[in-house]
Amino acid sequence: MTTSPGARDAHRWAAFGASVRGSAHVREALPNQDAVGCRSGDSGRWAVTAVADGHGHSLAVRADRGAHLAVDAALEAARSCWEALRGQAGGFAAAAVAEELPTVMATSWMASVQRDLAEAPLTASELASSGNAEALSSYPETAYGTTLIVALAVAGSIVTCQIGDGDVVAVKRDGTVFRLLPADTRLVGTKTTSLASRSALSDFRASHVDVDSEAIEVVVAATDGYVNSFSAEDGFAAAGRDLWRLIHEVGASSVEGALASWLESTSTDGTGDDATLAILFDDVGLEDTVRLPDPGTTISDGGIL
Amino acid sequence: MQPGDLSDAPELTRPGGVVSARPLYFFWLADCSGSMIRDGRIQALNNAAAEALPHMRRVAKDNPNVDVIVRVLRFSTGAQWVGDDPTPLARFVWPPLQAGGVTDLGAAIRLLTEDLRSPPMPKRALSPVVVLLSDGRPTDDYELALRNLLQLPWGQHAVRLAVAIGRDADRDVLRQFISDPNMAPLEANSPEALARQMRWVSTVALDAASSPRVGMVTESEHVRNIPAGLLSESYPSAGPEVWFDDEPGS
Repeated sequence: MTTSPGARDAHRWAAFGASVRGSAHVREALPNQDAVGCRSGDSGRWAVTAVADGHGHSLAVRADRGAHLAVDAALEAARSCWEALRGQAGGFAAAAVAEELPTVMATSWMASVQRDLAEAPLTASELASSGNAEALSSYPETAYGTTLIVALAVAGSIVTCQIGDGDVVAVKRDGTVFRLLPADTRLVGTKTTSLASRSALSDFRASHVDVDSEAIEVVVAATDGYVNSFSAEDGFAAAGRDLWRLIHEVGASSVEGALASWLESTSTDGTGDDATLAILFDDVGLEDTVRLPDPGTTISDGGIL
Repeated sequence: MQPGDLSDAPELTRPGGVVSARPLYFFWLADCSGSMIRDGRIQALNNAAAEALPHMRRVAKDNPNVDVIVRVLRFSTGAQWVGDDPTPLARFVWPPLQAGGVTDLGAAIRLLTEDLRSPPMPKRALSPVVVLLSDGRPTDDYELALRNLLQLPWGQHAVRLAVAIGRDADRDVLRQFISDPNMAPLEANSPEALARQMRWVSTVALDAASSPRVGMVTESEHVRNIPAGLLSESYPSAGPEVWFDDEPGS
């Protein structure tokens, strides 16, 4: 879709996020192994956010680095998609992007990891600390193991991709919340699929959604350190709705200012894990909303599957 | 009030609902068959469990973001949960177990399987720890029950350990139960060894299962819950003493 100069944009996307080190990581002298990144362009025609959670497993001795490389790969892949598609007739091909983006991101991430390993091979100390030097030597990319969630908004479409645990939800104009991606039943307890796995491409989940027909205003993505801190199974969905409401009530910049402290207290009282959250929102859609729904708005767990 | 204007705003409330530590279910599966009467094995088990509890609580205290919940399942002729509900470790008291009957391990595994479905297991729980304590060989069809248990995600990913009490415990059966194919049953040939093994599973295994270091997938295969190095380094030897007789289990 092309907006003529001077015309009012139908959507103006923006994103922000925060990441905090978990109290359990502090106790165990582990770094923050999560990462978050946001980027937008063309006066809000597009925006992307990515969150990554480097694995806590002993083999993942460079998990924090892996998470940052994943976020970098995601932001760059999203920008490339936008650059490649912006001039094409027929507008943003969300379905094609949803299909291609995981491959582009995973390939880019693996190339970054291999460059990193070439520049700085695993040290004897890292191999020893892994608890299984033989396994790590035979497949050193495991050292960088991480999850990744990406939400890309372009004009009236949102593409979402995820590998591994964590969660991502969308909040509609009427306050209902729904999941953008199908559940992965293999993710049990602390088990997760991984960008470092040779099956990474098939382990990705991806979807695309039309913003206008679904009346989406906000997308919230978070790592499992935040998601699993809530006692109720729909706790994260409720947090997504609360964040949407707060953005309406006090503005995105105020929410952004408070976000890190919320993550820290939620993690400290909950999982103790690193906690990372990113919000992608439609500034135009939020401006147009004139009335908030009642507090008792139902959270739906439908999803677009 | 305009968006961004906080001059008259109340303090922002943290988003989301109630927050709490992640639950970790710790299951004891105790063989209470008739052979456990011999040489005071059942009493040794009761004593060892009671002795292990303070150590377990100490480990739990060091992991404040984990809420340890304990259940005991006794099996002899049939199987029953001891107590109605899972109990938070802080309030858990080891129930004095009595012995008598045969060794219906299959019945015990079937009951466990029901508890490892989700629900009742919360999706946000950490991988449960299941410790099988036995001095004999099963008298019912445990193999089908075990296969069904391993069909469940939580059954598959539980940290499954086994303690062989005395020389006649069927180690092949216990090996089938253990989640790590490279790990042997823990040997307990005396009351002291039993106490040592129960203390070990109550502390090292619990601590490992509670750790943020646990868990990832490689090559689309789930690696073991507890890093192999940690188990092998911490694994206590059986010790030379043999107090328990070689009497066949019931």
